[in-house]
Amino acid sequence: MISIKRKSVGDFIGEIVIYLVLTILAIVMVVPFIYVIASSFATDTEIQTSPIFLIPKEPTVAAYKTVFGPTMKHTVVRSLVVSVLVTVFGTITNLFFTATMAYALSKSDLPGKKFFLNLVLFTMVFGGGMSPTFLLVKSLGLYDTYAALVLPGAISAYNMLIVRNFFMDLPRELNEAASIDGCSEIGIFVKIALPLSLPCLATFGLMYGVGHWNNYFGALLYLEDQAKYPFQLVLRNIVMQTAETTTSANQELPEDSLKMAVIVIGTVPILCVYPFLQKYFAAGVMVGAVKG
Amino acid sequence: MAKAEKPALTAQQKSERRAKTWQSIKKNKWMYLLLLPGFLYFVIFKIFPLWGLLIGFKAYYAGLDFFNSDWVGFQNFADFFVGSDFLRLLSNTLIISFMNLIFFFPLPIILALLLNEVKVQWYKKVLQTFVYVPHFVSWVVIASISFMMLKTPAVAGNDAYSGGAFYEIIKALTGKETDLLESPSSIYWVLLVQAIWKETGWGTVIFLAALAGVDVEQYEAAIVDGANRMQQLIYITIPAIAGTIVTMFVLRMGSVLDTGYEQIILMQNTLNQSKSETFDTYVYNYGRVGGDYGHTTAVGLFKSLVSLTCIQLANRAAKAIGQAGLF
Amino acid sequence: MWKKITLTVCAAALLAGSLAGCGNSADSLTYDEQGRPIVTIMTQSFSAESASDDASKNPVIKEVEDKIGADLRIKWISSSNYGEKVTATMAAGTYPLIMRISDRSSAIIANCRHDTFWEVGDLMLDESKFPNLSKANKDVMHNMSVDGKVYGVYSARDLGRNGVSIRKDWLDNLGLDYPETVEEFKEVCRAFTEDDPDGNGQKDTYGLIMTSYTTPIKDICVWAGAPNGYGFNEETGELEPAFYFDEYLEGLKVVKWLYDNQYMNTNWATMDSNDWNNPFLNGQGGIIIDVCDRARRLATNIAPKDPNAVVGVFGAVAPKEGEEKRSRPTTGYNGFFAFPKDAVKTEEELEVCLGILDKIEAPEVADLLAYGIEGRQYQIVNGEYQKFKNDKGEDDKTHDGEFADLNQIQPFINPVSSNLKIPYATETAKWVDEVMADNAKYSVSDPSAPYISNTYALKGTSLDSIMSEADTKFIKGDFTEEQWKAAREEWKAKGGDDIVKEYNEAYQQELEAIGSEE
Repeated sequence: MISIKRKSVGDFIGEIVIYLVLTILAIVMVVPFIYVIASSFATDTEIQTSPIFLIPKEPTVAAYKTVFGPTMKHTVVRSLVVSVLVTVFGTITNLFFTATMAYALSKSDLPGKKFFLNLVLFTMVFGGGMSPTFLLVKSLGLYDTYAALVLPGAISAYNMLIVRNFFMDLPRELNEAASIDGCSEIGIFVKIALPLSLPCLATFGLMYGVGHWNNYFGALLYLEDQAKYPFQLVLRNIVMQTAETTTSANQELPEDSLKMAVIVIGTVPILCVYPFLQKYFAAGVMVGAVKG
Repeated sequence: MAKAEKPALTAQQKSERRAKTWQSIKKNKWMYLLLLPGFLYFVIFKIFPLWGLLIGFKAYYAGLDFFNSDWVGFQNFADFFVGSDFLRLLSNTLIISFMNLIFFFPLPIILALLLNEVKVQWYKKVLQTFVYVPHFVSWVVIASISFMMLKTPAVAGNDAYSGGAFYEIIKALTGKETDLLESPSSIYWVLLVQAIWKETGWGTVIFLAALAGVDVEQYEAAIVDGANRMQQLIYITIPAIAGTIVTMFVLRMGSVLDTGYEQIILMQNTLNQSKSETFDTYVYNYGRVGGDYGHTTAVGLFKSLVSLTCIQLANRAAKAIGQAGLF
Repeated sequence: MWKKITLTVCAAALLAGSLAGCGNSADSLTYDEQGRPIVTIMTQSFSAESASDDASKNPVIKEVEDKIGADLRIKWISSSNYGEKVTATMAAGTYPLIMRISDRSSAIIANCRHDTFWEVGDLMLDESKFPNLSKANKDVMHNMSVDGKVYGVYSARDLGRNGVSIRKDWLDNLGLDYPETVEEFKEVCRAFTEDDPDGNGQKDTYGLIMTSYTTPIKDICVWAGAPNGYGFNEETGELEPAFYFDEYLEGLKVVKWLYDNQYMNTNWATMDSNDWNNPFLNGQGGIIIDVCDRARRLATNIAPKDPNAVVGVFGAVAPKEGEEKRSRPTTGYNGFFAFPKDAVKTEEELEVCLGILDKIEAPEVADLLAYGIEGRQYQIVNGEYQKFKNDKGEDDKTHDGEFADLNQIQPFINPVSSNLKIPYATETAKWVDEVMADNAKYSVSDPSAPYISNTYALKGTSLDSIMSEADTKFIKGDFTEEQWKAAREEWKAKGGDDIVKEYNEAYQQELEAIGSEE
């Protein structure tokens, strides 16, 4: 590789500007998080008297004590457990449905493949809408069950098509070699295709998983029993109660630091998993998206 | 979908062809087994509900018996277009969408180009980690943080108390004490800034992928020819991602009426509803919450049909200017 | 290809059609081991964790259940998604025995008409069976009726909530009393502007504070003698909107007079209602026409700025000396408790459920719901209610979770709602309660409140704005009386006539229904 040692002055200044802008940007992106963490350890007086701060003046764990205290503990812990379970089982379901369908559709010689693909594309641009889907979920007996959080979104058509592209790029020769060795079609899928596409599946597992963890809307639509609420919906209800103070003027309102503590508890798991999977956001996986 | 005219087949050819197809299907039986769960999913959860579009032609409310509710023909549609909601929803939806297109859409491209200029690999990784993070945060959390940053002082008129960061910034800039959560039109800016914060970083992924595909030799040749960084950017980098930009633009135009529910509903309140109600939130508020299934299904159907047309048009436009369309 | 898809769609649609409509699982009335009815109630919650309905864990609920003789099962739904869950419950058919309904949406009205809920209007007024519920206000019951029928026990709110916050200390400085007539009200506004009520020697104050939120104009028009919303016109024998009446124009002229003489803020038409309090708190303006509760908040917020300020409150005002005072009431209810027929299967069961709500209305039960148990959550000191204090001298809230949100199962119909003497935080707070009670006596009810107009549902917002713009322009002098009347004609032509017609049809129907019953 040829390397050019001398840079023009303009390029040099440009470079400095670029690094500076990006660094500031990166900081802007994380400041809100630090503020949230800081205020979860701060007193309400401090939150009310300064617009923003990154380190609390009088650190206190009072908010966390309340969250895990007698009045809120049950709701918070239970909803966290629900969220973890829904995320784990939901993601497994998603990956199963997505990978099987994507693999089958990646076979170029499958009769009727075009029909299935068109079916998928059609649903991407045209749907029944919210109320008909709700009535369907109710008719299937899924209303107020956890299945309603998982099944109606079992496959994201978009993700499935990208995974399909990935399978299509797998070398043909491996399949042939395997089938000579007496491996069945499903055997090839399980023993060869899946292991080879692990990075791809990990990426989409993360996408689906984050989707489940962050989802409040599905629960809002399909769950009736408050005891079944996942974490995000509990958080929403805590937060929205203050947003609508006008209607409930004489009710006790959750303090700001308390809300922030709940947010920290709900966001930390995602942020812990994220760095481990970040390496998979390799260019290769997302290129598929461009090809559509 | 147009196909070349096939020559007429003789009966024998037909049966041969059928036998061959049958054989191929038998050979692929395991593939169909793999296909089955996904196929069932699409049929049950995506195709079945289409039947529910009939609701749009009935006076049907939550709690009533579907079969006993009256058919009203196109009344629901007529009511919607005659009523005062339609124009309001259309303008709110378009304002939100176009503000997004103008202010948000270019940002991931610019950020990707900037990141592409960072040659120190470890630093680039660190930057990426930082800018991607907001994408993984839920709208509920973002709404909560927004409430904190936009809130007005807990006690009005007492200087000891302070509002949220944005409240104070706007107060310093304009001298006015605005309640950004309640004054109607500021909702547009709140939604925009939230979207920018959450998705700009993640939006770069697709452009960075396209940039990674650019041949290094092109740059080397350009450097030899004496091109500076700016010229490299204009003549090599930007053309390399132009296709991706057009594709993303087409997608965006196709979904110009989709504002989504999750983000807006969290920020919506009775005071800003006149400005923040879009087709999507209307269907939620009057259908899922209000229980007026007939009317809102009609609204949803109308929106779907317009969206379908938009996608087709945008796709055709992309092809017309020489880019690969979506389908 | 699309043909195949169409075929699949059709086949799928047929299958789905056969699925729709099944799967009902409403609650039904059962009895526990002690023979007490098990009553399921769905209502809204405001706390992160509402009170438990398990008597073995929660002494408050045990006490309540002992008093009312029923086993309560409360289905708490967060207030932030309550409407959503009511709709979902109706769609899924998973009804409780008693369901609180928070608003009168078109879906609720459709369900009332399709007999989803029991009609309780006559039954709940039976004094021998329901001594507390039978005290219900007939105007409020009319307001919540659908086609003249009442489909639930309303959840009461103060009828007399609308009132005027005023600088009492300014009145005192000028030797004035609360105004009792429109003329006196005009005089107070004048005096607040011209007679230096704050005594600083400068003419830097004014009377009425208005914003672009024009509802206060309606209050003034009602004071001047116009109907509230709609009124019965003796000449035509029909219900007509308030602005058909001459008194409405009189009311507008009062505001115009205030505006022309600058006895109110002249920038009102462009002022955001969020800034409403500011001139009051800064000691510029002295009167805000809104809800009485505003006075309480103003009193709290003005104290640090001006310790001498006294925020007073008054309600009804008479058109002229010697005439009856008038006040624009609220609808008097905020949602209602309905009894779904899928769950409550017989009239006997309905009486059991109504009986439970009736017993909840007894003051001793209501106090349990609102404050808990004496000796556990509070104490009585010198005959007055007081919370226990903790080591830091703050209110001890350790056991408050035991009655959190419990008063959400209470209709608040019984005017005697408490045996306890609760001390007021400020004097203004006490006045607010007094004025609200007083207002109810003078309330001018809106006869059109229960009627449903399809045209209004569709075009109401744009039609309303025609008239509110005309009002604004008339007050500012941009419109003459003739132009204002022309705007009224425009309102009629663009759909107003249809609304009036639809309301009158509903009105006639109701008259006939009452006639045929008698």
